[in-house]
Amino acid sequence: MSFWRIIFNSIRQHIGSSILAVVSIGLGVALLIAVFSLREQTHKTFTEIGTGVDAVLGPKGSSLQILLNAVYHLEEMPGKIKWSYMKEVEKNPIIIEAIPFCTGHSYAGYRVNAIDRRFLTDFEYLPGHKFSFDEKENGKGRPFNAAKEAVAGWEVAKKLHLKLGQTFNPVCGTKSGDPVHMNDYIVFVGILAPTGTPHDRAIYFPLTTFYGLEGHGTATAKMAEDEKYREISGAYLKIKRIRNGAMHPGIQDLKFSINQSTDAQLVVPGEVLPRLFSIIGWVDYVFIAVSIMVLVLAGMFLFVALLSALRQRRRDMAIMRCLGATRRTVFGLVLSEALIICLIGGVLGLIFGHILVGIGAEQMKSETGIHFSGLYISTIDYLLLPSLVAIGIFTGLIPAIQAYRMGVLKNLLPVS
Amino acid sequence: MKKNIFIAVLTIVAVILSILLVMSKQKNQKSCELEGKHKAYHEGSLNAITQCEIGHFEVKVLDDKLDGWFVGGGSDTNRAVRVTVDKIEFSVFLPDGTIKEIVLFSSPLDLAGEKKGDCSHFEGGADWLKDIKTFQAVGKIYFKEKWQPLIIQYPEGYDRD
Repeated sequence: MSFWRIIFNSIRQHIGSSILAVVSIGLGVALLIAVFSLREQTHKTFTEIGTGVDAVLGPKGSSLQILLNAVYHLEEMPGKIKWSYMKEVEKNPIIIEAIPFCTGHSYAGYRVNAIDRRFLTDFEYLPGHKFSFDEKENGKGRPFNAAKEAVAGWEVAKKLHLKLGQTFNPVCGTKSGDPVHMNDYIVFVGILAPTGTPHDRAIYFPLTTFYGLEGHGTATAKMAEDEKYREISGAYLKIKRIRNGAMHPGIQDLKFSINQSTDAQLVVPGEVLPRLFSIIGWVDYVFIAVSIMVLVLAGMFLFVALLSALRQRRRDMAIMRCLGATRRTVFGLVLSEALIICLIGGVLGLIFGHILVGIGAEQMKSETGIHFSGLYISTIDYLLLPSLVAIGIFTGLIPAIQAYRMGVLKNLLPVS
Repeated sequence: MKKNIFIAVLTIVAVILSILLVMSKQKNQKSCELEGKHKAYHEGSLNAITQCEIGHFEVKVLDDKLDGWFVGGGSDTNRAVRVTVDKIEFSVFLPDGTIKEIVLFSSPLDLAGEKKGDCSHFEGGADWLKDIKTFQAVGKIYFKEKWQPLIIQYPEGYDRD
């Protein structure tokens, strides 16, 4: 009987505990794969891919809150800034473009942002990528041209089954129960082609329309006519680039100056997001620790299963030794069995982990607007094989040593 | 058998403790990096105004131009501190032993709402600045309601403590 045949038969003999060991190792691996994959993809989306916004000019308050509201369509803006202040900032030579916006409205759970039309025509959500309405790219219609027109992000249009020509009444607020602008009918004239960014999850309409919505009061209506009184939630800033596409170093001086004012602050996503990750980083550690614990418990379970299997097979081992098997052979048999169980569990866990991310990706995309892929290869995928070999050796070593030391004569006696 | 199980459990506990220890060490290291460092927000050199806790004068030289910002003490170096003078005169001691004079004039940060005579930013220029890499300068400033000596050590920065 071949070496591998003996191992296969041994696993079959204690199939129940072997399957349980495979399942528990698989679960631990799947958890680790899912946690690492989501962690790295989130990190990549927030820090590397970006959303085309070099900096956000916003009111005083939490910089993180401003960023989440302006770019990721979450949270609330902590205040407003003067239009005239934005115009002053725009004069700075390192600024290519400032696109003002007003947040605070919603429709069917999606944010409705009032924004300058240049956002739809000139803004690059990724280097070299502007918004498209091309039907070949799954877009429709055109940018808004008149006051009562709006454009929907791809995700919103898909979820709400929006059609061009359809009208909606914006909600004055972002919570359920907030008042609706019942007499303001805004018509959808365009649907943006998918961008894979949070911009897909919002509806956009002209800035001037925002000020004129019924119920906003005369003071707000006046903002549409006279720039002196006009206020905005913030502005996306496009900063000049220098060598290798790096942002102009003058951004630091500009940020320092703006941040000294009592009216506004400059938020650079690349600086704020690492802070967000340092705040929520402990959650990652908890998930990783839980996954490692599951793996360790699975390893302990395998260890006990191997030991008990060895106790049952003492006589078989002794007979094998009598038939010519060396100490090293029985040592190798037990160790290989542990390794095989670990590897089977690992491969199943690897597949299951990626399926888990793939299934959850759609749900998470609709909640956060971030694209996740089940096929993403994270750091842990590369470390998986050596780690499983280590776990296999670790759990199989003591039973293998016991098998190695086993006395032949003593164990030739029938077990029962 | 019991001994083996005991050893195995002990080893597993040791592995878990090591992982947790490494994680907490990494976290501590990160927080230490964030704390205790006085960041120069304009990437210049920070010069304590008598003591680090009182305030700093951040200095940056680019070609023949010298920029200076009065900023807060301690780790408050991201906060501008306005002074009420229009100009600051410095005696500059160069490495070759020569002494030069330079005057920095107030240059208000408009976006911060600063005005001449109530600002945190000063600038000045001189041709000889182009050729020097290091210098020491001494001046005087009315800072936080008191005349204080102002010492610049460029590029390493000045800190009496």
